Amino acid sequence: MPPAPGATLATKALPLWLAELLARRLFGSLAGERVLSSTFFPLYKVYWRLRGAGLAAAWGFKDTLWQDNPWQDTLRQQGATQEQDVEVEVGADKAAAAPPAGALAETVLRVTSGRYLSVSEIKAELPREERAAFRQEYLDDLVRRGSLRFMAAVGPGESGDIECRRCGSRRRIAFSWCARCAIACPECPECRDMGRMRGCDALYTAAEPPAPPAFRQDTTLAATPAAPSGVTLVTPLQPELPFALSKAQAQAAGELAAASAARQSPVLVWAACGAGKTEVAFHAVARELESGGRVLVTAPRRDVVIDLYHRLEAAFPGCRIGGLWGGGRFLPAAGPSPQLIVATTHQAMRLSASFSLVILDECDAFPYNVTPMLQRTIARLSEGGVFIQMTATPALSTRRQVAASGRIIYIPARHHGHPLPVPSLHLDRSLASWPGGGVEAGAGGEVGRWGGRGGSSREGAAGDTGQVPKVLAEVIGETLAGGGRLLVFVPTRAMVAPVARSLQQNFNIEVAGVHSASPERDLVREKLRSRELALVVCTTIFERGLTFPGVDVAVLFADNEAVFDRATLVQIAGRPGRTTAFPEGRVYFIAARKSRSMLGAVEDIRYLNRLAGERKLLL
Amino acid sequence: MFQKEKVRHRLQIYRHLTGGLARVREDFGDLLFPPPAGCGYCGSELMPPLMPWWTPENAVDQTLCRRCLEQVVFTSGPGCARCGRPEQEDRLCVFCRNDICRVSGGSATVYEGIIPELTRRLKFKGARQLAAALGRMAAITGMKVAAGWPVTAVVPVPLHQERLAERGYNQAQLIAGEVARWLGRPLWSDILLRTRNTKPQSGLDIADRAKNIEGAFVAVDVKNLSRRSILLVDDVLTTGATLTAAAAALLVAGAGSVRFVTASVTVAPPQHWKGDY
Repeated sequence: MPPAPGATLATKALPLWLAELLARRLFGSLAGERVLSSTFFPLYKVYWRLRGAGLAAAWGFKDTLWQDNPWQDTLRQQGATQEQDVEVEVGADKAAAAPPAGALAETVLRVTSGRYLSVSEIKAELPREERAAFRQEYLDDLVRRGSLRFMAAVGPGESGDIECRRCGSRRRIAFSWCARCAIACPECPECRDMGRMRGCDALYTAAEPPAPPAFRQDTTLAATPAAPSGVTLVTPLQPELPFALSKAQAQAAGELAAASAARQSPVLVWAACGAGKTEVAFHAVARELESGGRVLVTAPRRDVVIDLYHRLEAAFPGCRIGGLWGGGRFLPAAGPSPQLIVATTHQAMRLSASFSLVILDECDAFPYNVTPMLQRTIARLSEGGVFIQMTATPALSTRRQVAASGRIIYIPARHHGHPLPVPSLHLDRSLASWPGGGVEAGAGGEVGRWGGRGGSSREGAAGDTGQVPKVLAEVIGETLAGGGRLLVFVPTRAMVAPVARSLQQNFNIEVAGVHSASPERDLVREKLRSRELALVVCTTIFERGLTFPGVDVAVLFADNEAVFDRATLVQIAGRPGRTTAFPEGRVYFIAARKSRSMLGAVEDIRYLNRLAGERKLLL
Repeated sequence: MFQKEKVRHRLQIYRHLTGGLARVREDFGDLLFPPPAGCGYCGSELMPPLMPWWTPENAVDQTLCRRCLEQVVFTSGPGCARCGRPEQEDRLCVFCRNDICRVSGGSATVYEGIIPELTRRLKFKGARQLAAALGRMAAITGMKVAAGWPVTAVVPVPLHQERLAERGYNQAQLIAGEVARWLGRPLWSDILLRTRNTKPQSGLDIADRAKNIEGAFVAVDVKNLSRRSILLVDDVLTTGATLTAAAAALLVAGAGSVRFVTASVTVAPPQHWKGDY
């Protein structure tokens, strides 16, 4: 049977995944390897044999079994003639351009070094002028020379089960009829959004990613942070930081560098909101770079990753850093693969090599916390190395897991040495009957209608009633009288406009309302920074990563646990008091009842404050 | 002591058995225990069927949830007298007036709301299960088109073999299969061939589209075709150039009459088109 047009090394004889499966079973059993874990059970063994035989037979008889297209012989002839024509063309082309134009081959090897990429992904990574000249034959040529390797994108894993080689998914692999192989082909639906992957697609990687040379800094050493007595930073290579580390940070940095030197893993860095946890890891990175290890710094969110990339670039001038995120990538132009890579967790899925140090920032953030495929990826990449997770709000499960097998490092105090503001609970039973609050919200009904429970529109009859809960009115009155500014968090987008309207009516000042879809989002953020607004109503979009000097915070309907969970409340409570000019602030939780999350958040904050006191980190 | 050994031995056998069964369940699990049906677009759980699916209208309810279906604009009212394109001021739409489209037929929905995303997922993201949703919608219109016009067979617009290998399946064929099922007519998926690997129509201008696709099809089973009525099926109707070329191939090969059904139809021209239409 002549190969289908467009067939390459990777797709020629058998579907790639089937070839790999058969090879495994043949050579694996020849070598005496136990291919399956439960081979002892005879019936199961028979079943497995039959299954293998069935697959092989299906391939043998596929023309008879799946006679999908009786005209395929005609088509094949057509294909063959076409291919001959093309071959002449390509041959002529090859005479001019082959062996793969040195530059193109180099680019392909550089792009695939340390990563698993499909043909289309390789093509997309090439510069535009090289993309036009790119042909699949070039990849085949590189494979024949031994400088490129390929494997099925979905194929047999360690245990003999079919698994996705990109995301590691095993359970959801689906077999469906494939026109290329004329047989059922496995496909991974879990990571489909990053580009389809079938068993007959190949993933390419450069054969031997050249070991990056250990990074040494030529410049004079940066000023060492004031290390407290009893803690010495052993690394001579110092990251260049824009500011000196605080006492709490220096302590944690020392601990972290020591933990990574002792190969302790996993490590959790639990920092107070606004304590500056990222810079703390730079000493551990410096140590690893110096000893020639490979470092991956990753976070689930793109903006965090971009920010990290620039901070690391500033801290390690002269170091070659690779940056990978959706929509943009910075790979060094030439030379071996970079020793330090900054990537989003999604882009990390395409990395092949394992790292001796993996740092995961914001480890409790969406989508990492709810996506098993990302967790599997990070576990694969950090295998045998040190895994450091950093967050201000670790989940209880993470805390327990790390406490059992690794080490938790705390940064309990902010740089100015003031304790974290502890939320005060303002309870009012009548809020439960207030639309959008209490039981109604918990029941998952029409959340977010402010005035007018029977109103039909989602925006509600709102400010028309003009009422404000008494507790909220008291809190606002108090804050405004003291010349302060207040951020009011509400659980839903639909509540923002009505609450803002009724506050404006009641207090006669400019009130802005912001949620993720409002166009004036950036404008309000700037106005808050420049202290032009005194009262802002918002959803949880202002929950993380933002600093508004001198602001107080109130959380309305804080007992709505679907939105305000423990981590969210701790983050919100971490907004006030972040700057040296305004080191203190107030946090109000306004609710009908004490929810578990509210109590948990208060507990977490008190715990860190107590720890800071014990370590004498407070003023 | 002896007793303990015996128990352990039995336990071992039990574990082997259940372990083996677990593997069998993993392999054939979806056949024995199908996963609960979810909306093809948003994934939310669907209402269980109230009645058996006697009509495609009812069957559409089993593929998309109510909230997503509300965003689908079904074609209705007077449209182009030839291709049925809605919202036309004249009797014929601009493409039929200029003879770019020369086939008559109809489309189920307007290419707006969730339909573009559904089509994209079906074509490029491998979400084959969406063919059921689009196919049943097309079948609703298919029944109207086939009223008083005895359909011999349903024929999908084919893909070139290379494109087929790349994608693994032909989305028009999946939709056509659903249409054929509801019309109770055979699906002839092998009667039309695409002989040239044409550029994707979606990136082209109106004039280039017709030029790109002209003469790209050939009908092969000439004996069966003579004087039959064929219903062509495709996913989206834009200018009608593809359908016209495919119909021409069928008519040349001796088909009696050809009409078409598509799952959706564009009303506004794409952004990158130049000139006024």
